[in-house]
Amino acid sequence: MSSDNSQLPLDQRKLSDLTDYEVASLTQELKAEEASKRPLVGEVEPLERLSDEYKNETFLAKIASLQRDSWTGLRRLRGDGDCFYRAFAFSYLERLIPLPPSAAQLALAKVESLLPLLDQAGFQKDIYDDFYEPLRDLLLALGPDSKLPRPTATSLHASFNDTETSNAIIVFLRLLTSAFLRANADDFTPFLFGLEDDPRFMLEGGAPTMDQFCSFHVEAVNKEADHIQITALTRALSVYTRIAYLDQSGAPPGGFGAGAGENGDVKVDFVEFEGESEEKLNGALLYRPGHYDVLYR
Amino acid sequence: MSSRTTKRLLSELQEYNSAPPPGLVHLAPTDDDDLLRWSARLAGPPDTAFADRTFHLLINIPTAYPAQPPTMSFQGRVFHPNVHYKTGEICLDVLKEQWSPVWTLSSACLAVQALLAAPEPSSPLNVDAANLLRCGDLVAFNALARLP
Repeated sequence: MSSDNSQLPLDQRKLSDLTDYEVASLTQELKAEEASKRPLVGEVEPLERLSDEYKNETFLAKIASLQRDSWTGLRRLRGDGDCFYRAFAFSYLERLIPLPPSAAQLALAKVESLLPLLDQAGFQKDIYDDFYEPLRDLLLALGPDSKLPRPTATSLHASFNDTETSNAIIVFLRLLTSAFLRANADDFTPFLFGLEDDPRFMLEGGAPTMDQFCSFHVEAVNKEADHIQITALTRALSVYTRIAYLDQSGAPPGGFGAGAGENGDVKVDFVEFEGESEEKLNGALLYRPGHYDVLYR
Repeated sequence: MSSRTTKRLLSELQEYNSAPPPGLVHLAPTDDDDLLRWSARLAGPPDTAFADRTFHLLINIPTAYPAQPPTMSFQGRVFHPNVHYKTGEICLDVLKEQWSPVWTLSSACLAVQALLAAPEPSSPLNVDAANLLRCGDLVAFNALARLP
C-alpha cells in the first residue's frame, strides 16, 4: 500500500528527504561504521601525537599546556557511544592494579552493595548477572583471595579488546547508572529540566521523565554519557574521576593573531567528580567534543 | 554464536515457559537446531481494531545478541502506520536505536503489542495508515485495520 522510497536504506536516499530523526540515525550508523575500524582500547601513545591532528590554535595551545603539566600519554578508545563508559571502566580497573588487593576487595564490596538497586529498578537478576560477571571476575582477580594470576595493564588491555567482555562491562555500568538515577530521582530530576531545549532529549516538547531518560539515554546501547550519567556513576561507585576538557572554550576573542605570542595562558579545564583527590592520581579522562580517551602522566 | 548468547537465549526460553506473560501466546525457536530464529504469537491488544486477532511474529536474532537487537516482522498483513504492509517489517525504537540488552525477546514482543495499540504516525512505514490517523479518520483506519 504505502510505496515511496522510504524503504531504501538511509544512506541511499537524498539527505534533504530525511526527517531529523532519520538524519540522526544515519549519523549514528556512519559513526558506528567508522568506529568499528579502531580497536576498542588502544595502546598508550605519546600525547604529542594528538597535536598532529589539529590545526585549531586553541586545541594546540591546550595540548601544549597539558604537556607542560606533565601529561604525556594518551590511550585512545573507539569512538562509539560507549566511549565514556569504556574509558571510565578501563581507568577504574587499571588504577587498582598497583594498589594493594584490599582496594579491589573494597571496590567489589561497593558494587555488590548496589545490586539491590538493580532489582529495585526492575532489572531481572538472571539478565543482569550475565553482564556483571566479567567485571566481578576482574575485581576478584585483583582482590586478596584470587587463585588466578593478578591482572596487569597488558592483560586488562586484552580483556577490554574482547568485544564480549568489554560490552558486558559497559552494559553493567549503564544499568548501575540507570538504577542509581532512578533510586535518587529526587536529586537528579531537576537536571532533566535543563534538557528541555535540547533536541536530543526532547520528547513531545517537554523534558523527559527520569524513567524515559534512563531507558532512552542510559540503558540504550551506544547512547553517549553526559554530565548527569557521569555524576551518577561516579557517585554510585564513589570513584574519584577527573576529566580534562579539550575544547574550544577559553579562546581569546578574535582567536590567536600573529601577535598572540606564546599562547601560554590557555589552560585545559579539569572537572572533578566525586570530591577532591586524596591520592594524587596520575590518570584522567580526556574529553574532546563527543569523545572520551584516557590520559596519563 | 557465543556461549553467552546461547546461555542467554536458553534462559529466556525457560523464563517464558515457566511464566508466559498474558497476551504472548507462543514464543519459541522455530527449529530445535537453530536458536537464532524464533516465532511468536501475540494477541491483538483489547479495545483496538486489532483485538480478537492473533498475530504471528518472526524473530531473527543476530549472533551478537543481546548487544544487538533482534529483528521482528509480522507474518501476514497488518495495516498499521509503523508496519510495512507488504513485508511486515516493524519500525519500533526499542528494536533499533533505543535497544538495551536488558530487553528480552518476550518484553520486545510485548512492546510490539503495545505499538499495535499506540501507533506512532510521525515515523510511518505505511504512509496511508499514518495519513488516516493524522487526519483523524478513525472509522476508515479501524475498518482497514480490522481486515485480516
